[in-house]
Amino acid sequence: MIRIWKKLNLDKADWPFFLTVLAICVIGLFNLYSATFDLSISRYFYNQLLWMSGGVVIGMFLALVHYHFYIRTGYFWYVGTVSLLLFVLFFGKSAGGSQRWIHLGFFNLQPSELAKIAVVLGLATYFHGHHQKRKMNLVDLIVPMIILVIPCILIVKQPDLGTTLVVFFTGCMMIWFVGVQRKILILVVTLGLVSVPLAWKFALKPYQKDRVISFLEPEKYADSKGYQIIQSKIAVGSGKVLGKGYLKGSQSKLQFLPKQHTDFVFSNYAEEFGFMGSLVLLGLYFLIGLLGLNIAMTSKDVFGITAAFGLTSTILIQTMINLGMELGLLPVVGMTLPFFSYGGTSLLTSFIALGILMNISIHRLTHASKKG
Amino acid sequence: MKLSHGRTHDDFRYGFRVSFVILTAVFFVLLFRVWQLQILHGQKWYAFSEENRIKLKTIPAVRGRIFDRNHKMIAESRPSYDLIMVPNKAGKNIDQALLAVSKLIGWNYEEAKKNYTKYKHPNSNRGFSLKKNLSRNEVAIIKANQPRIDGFDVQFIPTRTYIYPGSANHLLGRMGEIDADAYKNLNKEDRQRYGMGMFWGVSGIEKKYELELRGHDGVRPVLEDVWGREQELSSTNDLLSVFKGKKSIAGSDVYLTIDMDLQLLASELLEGKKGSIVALDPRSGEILAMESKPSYISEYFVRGVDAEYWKSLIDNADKPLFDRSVQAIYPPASTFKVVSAFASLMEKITTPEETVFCPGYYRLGREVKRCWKRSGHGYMNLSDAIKHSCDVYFYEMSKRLGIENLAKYARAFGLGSKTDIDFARESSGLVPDQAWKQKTYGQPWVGGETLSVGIGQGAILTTPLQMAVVYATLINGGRVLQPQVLKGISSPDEIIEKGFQRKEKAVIEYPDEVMQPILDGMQRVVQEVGGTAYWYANSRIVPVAGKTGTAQVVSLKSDKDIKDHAWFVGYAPSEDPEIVVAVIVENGEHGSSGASPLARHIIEKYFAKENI
Repeated sequence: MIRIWKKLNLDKADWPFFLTVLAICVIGLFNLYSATFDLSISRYFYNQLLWMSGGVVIGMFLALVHYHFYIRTGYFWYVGTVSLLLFVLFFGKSAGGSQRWIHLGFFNLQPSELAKIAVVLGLATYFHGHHQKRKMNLVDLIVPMIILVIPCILIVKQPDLGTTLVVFFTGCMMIWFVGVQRKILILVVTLGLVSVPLAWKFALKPYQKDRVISFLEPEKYADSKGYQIIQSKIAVGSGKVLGKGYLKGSQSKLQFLPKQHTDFVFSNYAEEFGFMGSLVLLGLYFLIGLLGLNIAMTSKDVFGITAAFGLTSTILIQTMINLGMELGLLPVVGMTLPFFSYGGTSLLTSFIALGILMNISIHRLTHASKKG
Repeated sequence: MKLSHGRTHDDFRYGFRVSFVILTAVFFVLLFRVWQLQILHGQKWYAFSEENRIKLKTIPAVRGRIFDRNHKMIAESRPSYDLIMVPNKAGKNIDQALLAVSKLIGWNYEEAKKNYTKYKHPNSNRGFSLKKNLSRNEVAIIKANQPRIDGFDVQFIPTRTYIYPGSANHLLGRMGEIDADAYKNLNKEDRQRYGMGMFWGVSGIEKKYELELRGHDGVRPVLEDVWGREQELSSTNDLLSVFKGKKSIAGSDVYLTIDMDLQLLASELLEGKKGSIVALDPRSGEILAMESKPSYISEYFVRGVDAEYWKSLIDNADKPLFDRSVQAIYPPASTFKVVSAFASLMEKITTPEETVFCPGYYRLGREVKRCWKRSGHGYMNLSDAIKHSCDVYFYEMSKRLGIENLAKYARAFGLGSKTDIDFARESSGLVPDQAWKQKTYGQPWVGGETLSVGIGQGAILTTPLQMAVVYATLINGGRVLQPQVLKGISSPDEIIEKGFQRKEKAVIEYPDEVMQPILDGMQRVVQEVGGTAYWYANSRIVPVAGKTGTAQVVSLKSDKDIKDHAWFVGYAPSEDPEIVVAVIVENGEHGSSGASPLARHIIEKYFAKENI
């Protein structure tokens, strides 16, 4: 037993990271039970439990395969996911006006979720194979940008603005992380600021604009659109210091809070566990960030560093957008809280990220690590 | 530490540092926000959550009304009240609650229990309609007793009401539950106005102008207490001032070209019969009346059709769901002879003066075809042949024309293809020719079949509406018009947005002298002693003209009681016609006695009205 343990290098694995995720999952499961208390609880609770178990199995598999598997197959996963995205655009199952799903009988697969992982693997494989002694100039940026932009375009077409943002920001973070010339960074930031009004005018769909307006002025715009934001704020705020107690949150129980088990799952939690509970959960997500960066820092090659950095970024960007939205800091976009929200594909993606991160940690150079 | 390609970890140190700073900063912002919401303003939000449970309730939009051409209302939206039950708020003992409420309004407890069991979310805070269409009395009782019956409330639901339930049902159409496929085809904006489980138009005018009729639902903030009871709104409430709500916008009103007086008369005339009456204005293509019987009752579909009633419609051998005016196809019989006559003169195979002797039968090779009058008509010219509906004359003309010529003119008048009426699902009918026979039966065309088609029998099939259009074309100078029922659509502030526009599909060019003998013949049918409709369709109010038809019914069973279908297509006044009426009565026996009196009634009503 101990020999297998040693052989698989499991003593090197970042167990604190795994335990942190597990803690979030367990809290999330309890919270889901509460959030769906009024609905048919058994279905949501057991589904989630099932998916989590499946996620752990897949994560374990991904953690134990040979490290070079990822470097060798990085492009394969990338191209496969892009093909799925193309497929879903033409033949996908639509729901609520967006074509996002591939129906697999027991499970509706959402390829845009997988794209979060695929883009990270694609970019990391590319950076691993192309040495860059200097910071990237415009020409160096062409290939990574193509790798990043293709899936983004396919996802935004579905349309799924939230996921597009996550994938795009993750990719940008990775490219920046590898090193880009300062003047290009300045150029991009300037362009970005200029393009906001243009995007507003031409790119956003009416319902997306509504969300932004209702976010900026929820009080003026408080019909059904500002409603979500205000109800979420009431839920969180009414939790006060210690919360209303488990299963006692009235906002979600009486269904004032829409989507209380998917996108607005933190509101339910914060209402029942108050500031102290929020502090614990925020702390756990912060810890994921720290430990994830630590895995990246101690990796043995460029693939490990960039992939670990990218996967950590994906998880954290989602967390930040979701929490920002639930706390009324950002406009409402459809975005789940990793490891915490109800939903199969989103959980699956998070566990794939976890598995690969664990794999990288198993093959890193040392145990010892410094934070920061 | 060396990495691949000569890089070291140091190359990434800067990136890690900045990432760490960003991570920490963002979590501080989130933490600050949580502190702000939960600790700084916690008391305020807590108060909101405890005392003011605000929900947004939908205010259903009032469906647009439907009017006839004289702005007489045909359909409107009347308030209906439902008994809404919220299971989770009805207390622990559901049965007791159901019993209490059913006792209160004198309702059968068993039925209440049945409706409750049918609801799929027995432990829910979501309300459902326990009982639809409450009486005023029941509404009053429930409102008065509300504090004592938790979990029950009355909800206002505007409901489609038809003013004349026995008439125009196929035309107005049915409401039904939204089906997923059609819903998907809506554009984004329209999709937001609908939801699964809602009702919308699934046939007729209700379907065609669904998007216009629907309107926009509004929302209203509602203050609820712990038990879901609505509280008085006070404007001083902080949070309420935040929720403004949104008024509902009523749907647009639809104005039809229909004259409801004619429509009602048509329904009355067809009562107890199987058949259809189509009346239209030959100058513009406006449909004045269009009725098909037997019919369903649109009213029964407004909020979900009763399964038993639906089954009775489906099982009915007379097919009440079927719109005979546009979907049924019949042989046009002798009403088609005017088309044969027109073809003959156009192709110059005869002159108006030429006579053909009718001995009561016609010989084609070895085949003998009978005239309907066994004793024969004697010498007939074209106008005489129309007046007496002489088969032999048209056998001879058909033989000279050949099937391709006949088919060509039938198609020119729009037969064999849809009339493109603006709201209905219609049949194209059938104009047979050699190629059709070859394709369908793999056999060559036989000469005898040409003779049958020439008198409107055999394979040729038309809808009543198509025949009305054919006659309109004959009397309006050859313009094939698209029949239409929409006069205009107005928004609630009564501005007609889309006025009526005549649409010409094609124009048939002909020399002046061609039409006169045909029109002459049709006048003599009605106005001259001996004309086939003289005793039935001649009117003292207005000069009527037209043509009768008797379509042979080929029965599979050797049922002797099956009678022929009676046709009449007529118009008036015979000079400068204003109205065309096509009538078919299934098994009405003779076009003269079975169908033409119905047309005369419609025509007389039209002119009686005009002269007031």
